Amino acid sequence: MTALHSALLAALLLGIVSGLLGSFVVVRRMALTGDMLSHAVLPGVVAGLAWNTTRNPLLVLICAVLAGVVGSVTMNGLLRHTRLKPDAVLALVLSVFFALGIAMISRVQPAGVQAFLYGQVAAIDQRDLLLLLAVTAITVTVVPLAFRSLSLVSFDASFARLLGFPVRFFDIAFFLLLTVVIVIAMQAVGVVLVTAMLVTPAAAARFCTHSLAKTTAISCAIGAVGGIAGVWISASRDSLPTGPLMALSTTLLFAAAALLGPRRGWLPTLLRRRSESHRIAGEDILKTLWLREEAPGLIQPLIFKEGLLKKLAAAGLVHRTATTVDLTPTGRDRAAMLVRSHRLWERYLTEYAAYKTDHVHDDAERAEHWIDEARMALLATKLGNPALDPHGRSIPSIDKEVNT
Amino acid sequence: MSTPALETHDLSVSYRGKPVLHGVDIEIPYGSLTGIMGPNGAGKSTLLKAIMGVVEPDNGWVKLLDKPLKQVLGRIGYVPQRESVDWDFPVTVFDVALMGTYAGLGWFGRPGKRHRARAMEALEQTGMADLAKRQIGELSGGQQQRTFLARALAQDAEIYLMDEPFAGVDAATERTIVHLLGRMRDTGKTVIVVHHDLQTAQRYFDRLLLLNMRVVAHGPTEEVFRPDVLETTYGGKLTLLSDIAARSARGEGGRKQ
Amino acid sequence: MNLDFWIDPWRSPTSIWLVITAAFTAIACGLPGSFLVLRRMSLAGDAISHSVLPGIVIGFLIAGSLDSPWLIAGAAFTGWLTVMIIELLYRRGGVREDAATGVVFTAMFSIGVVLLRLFASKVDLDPDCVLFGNLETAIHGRQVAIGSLSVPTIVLLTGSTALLAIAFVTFLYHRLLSTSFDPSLAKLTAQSPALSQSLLLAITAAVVVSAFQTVGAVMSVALLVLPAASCLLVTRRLPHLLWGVIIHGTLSAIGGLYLATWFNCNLGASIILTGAGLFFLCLLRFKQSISVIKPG
Repeated sequence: MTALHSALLAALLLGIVSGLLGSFVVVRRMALTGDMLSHAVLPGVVAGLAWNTTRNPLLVLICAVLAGVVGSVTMNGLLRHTRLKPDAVLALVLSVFFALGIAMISRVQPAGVQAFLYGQVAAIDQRDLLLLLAVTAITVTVVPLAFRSLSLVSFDASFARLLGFPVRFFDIAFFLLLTVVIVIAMQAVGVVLVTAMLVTPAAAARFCTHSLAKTTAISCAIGAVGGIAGVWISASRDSLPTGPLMALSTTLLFAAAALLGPRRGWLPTLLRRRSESHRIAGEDILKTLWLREEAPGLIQPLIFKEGLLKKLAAAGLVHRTATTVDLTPTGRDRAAMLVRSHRLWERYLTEYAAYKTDHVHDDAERAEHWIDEARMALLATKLGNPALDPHGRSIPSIDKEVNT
Repeated sequence: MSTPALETHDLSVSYRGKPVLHGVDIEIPYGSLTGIMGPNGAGKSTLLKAIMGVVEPDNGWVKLLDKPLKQVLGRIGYVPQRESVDWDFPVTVFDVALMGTYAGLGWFGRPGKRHRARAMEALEQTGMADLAKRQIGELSGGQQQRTFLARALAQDAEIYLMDEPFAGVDAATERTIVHLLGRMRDTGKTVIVVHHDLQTAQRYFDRLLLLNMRVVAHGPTEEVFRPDVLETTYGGKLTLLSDIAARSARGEGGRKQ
Repeated sequence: MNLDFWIDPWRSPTSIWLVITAAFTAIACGLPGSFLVLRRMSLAGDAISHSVLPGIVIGFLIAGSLDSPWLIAGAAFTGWLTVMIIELLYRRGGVREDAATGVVFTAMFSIGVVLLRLFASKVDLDPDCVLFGNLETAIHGRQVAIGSLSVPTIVLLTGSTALLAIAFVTFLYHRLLSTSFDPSLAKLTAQSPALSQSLLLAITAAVVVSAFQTVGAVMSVALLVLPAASCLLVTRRLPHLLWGVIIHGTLSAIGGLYLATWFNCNLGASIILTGAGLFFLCLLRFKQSISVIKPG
């Protein structure tokens, strides 16, 4: 296997495993705790590297995890016993442990530390790859199996505890697994950018979907693709460092998700809003036509927007001639529903919400567009199927057809 | 004055996507002492926040002293909820009271003798002058409340907004605060207080505003403090109201086309 | 341990400059950093310290040297940009605040490293400086003659940054106090909390730039947070806190020199580890004091 192939494989595996854990890191709001860990493990990494002249990945990992544990214990201790706030404690532990690591490096100068500081995917050898493979295999097996439990514990720890879940065990296991993945990720992207591999793919996935399972899958994909892209680009341009390129590729995918993600992306939200406002404007036209039929002469003829009229005509809701616009029977039914919603809502506001009669119209003008059939039925039942609105106008019933 | 001291129109506010206030219309006259009551989550604190411009409303507007907030800065006093204060902050009782006099200090201004005198006087009015040098974390609940009340007094404002000033205070502090609020009202200030205790509400306030996501009732205490009105206020959430309000705020899902 | 042991570190003529520069840097960072800590914005400080890198590189490309104010301008810009993007993602994008911080500062840092590598020939900035600091080298850099003394320019740079920080904290003291303690009231009393915050972040970016050459980007977070965190444990008054920060910074600088000489390790790290030692002492004092005070 060439160096490039092993680098690509490493990027793939790393993307998968950090994506898997990353979605839980984001959901549990541990993004900056992860940052703290990636800095806090440095003294352990240096100790592990300095032990022997030949690098033993497992030893380094163990020392690093120990350092991470010490960092975490220190953090919890400070939180519990002083009045310092969590953000300050986190920043403190992060930077002081890192400084300790730097001090040790400047003194001992162990071989191979460059790889951990800056990330050198190219320096990942057979043993590292095996370790990465093992960790990925474990994570890929354990996380899907424990998915439901892990989700429950992450979202509502107290509830999980009540149900008898060993929350403490989950927390510790997650923490240890996270630290291991962080140490491995460090070798690829460097100490500062581990957070990019853990957090960015998962944050991107949140723009795309509600479900945690899909988030996890998407973040694995983004992590893998971003990582591989970074390795590929850096291999083709010798002067560019791999770690930052992996982080930047992943960030580009994040930007794409932020713009285009179906759940909360900028463009889909904009289009949704636009289509909603068109719907509302169209409904307002139908309603105006209906009210004109109910009380001709009371409402002045209005100018309607051409584009909306075309859409309504195409949908079979209005009938147009050169000079007039009229409701079709379907359109009339639709408009009747709207007016029904409006007037039921006015009743509801005056009877249940203690609104004054002269205050309900504006609210109903807005609310009428958000009352679907189910809610309208609920309203009608709650109000006892009234015949009149608070202003004395009759509330259209569902089956009635207005005779023109 | 014919215009109200505080006026809101059709004020709707969401918090994290959930509607908290819907269509709130209020008029509070000058020189009055109004209590805002309602169940938990009714939007009382949110109403204060919307008035102070800390949260943006989805809909509607607020006018203070017949003007938008931006034009009357420095004339609105504020006493926060105890739980929102950072009691570990390294400031003394006096420092807090002094902060009430900061309006009008430029970027590089330092509070002078007059400011310090005003702060001290305010502390005397709330009975905290002896504890002026204490760090605020070392105070009892009642003392903490009186410190922030002093800060508000030092502001020498025209409208005062207070968020549960009676929560967790001892009886002596409660009497002090009631007495002070009455004095403020008598000197023409407009005092608006979010309150939690039904029993005392009737005694303490001239006017009541009963809130449960929307205004249930508003007016002189004798008119408003009635069993049927109270039952509507505290009788539970209007699920349909919050449901429809949420949908329109989020902007999704009407009838199918 | 004879007296020599304690005097040895001072034998080298540059030692004094090293300590002075380190003290200036610690003071420059510790003062605005105190307000970051009080506002629970320590992690914004973390984000800024990483995100100034691209600004520094761009500033260097424009100015051609490390001593130019362009570096500070560039850093302030990218620092400001970082905070703006984080806010945008959080407010409009619904991204959680910690996740948004993580995404943005790593992206900024990556851009900085890539730029540094791309323009390595034009930018005389050692990439190691980012993580390790560069004080031992920088102190031997350009010198300026002042009277009969030959002063390294880095001393002047950090000195002016320290002066800036002191001026900022002194002249804007009451603004900073009121907007840190209660932003809602600050808004009502027209203290411009939003603008004050932007200023604080801009100053933070500026001091991080000067810390950049002393302790490097990552460890500058410690200089921002450690002094205030230590002093918060032992004092309950803000003016005392700020004086304590100045003392903490000076002692860290002196102790750092000793540590670096005795153990032959990186000066920046030694400064921070001394600071951590002082923090630990403050912690002991805190523990001692709460066992005496009765809850009241």
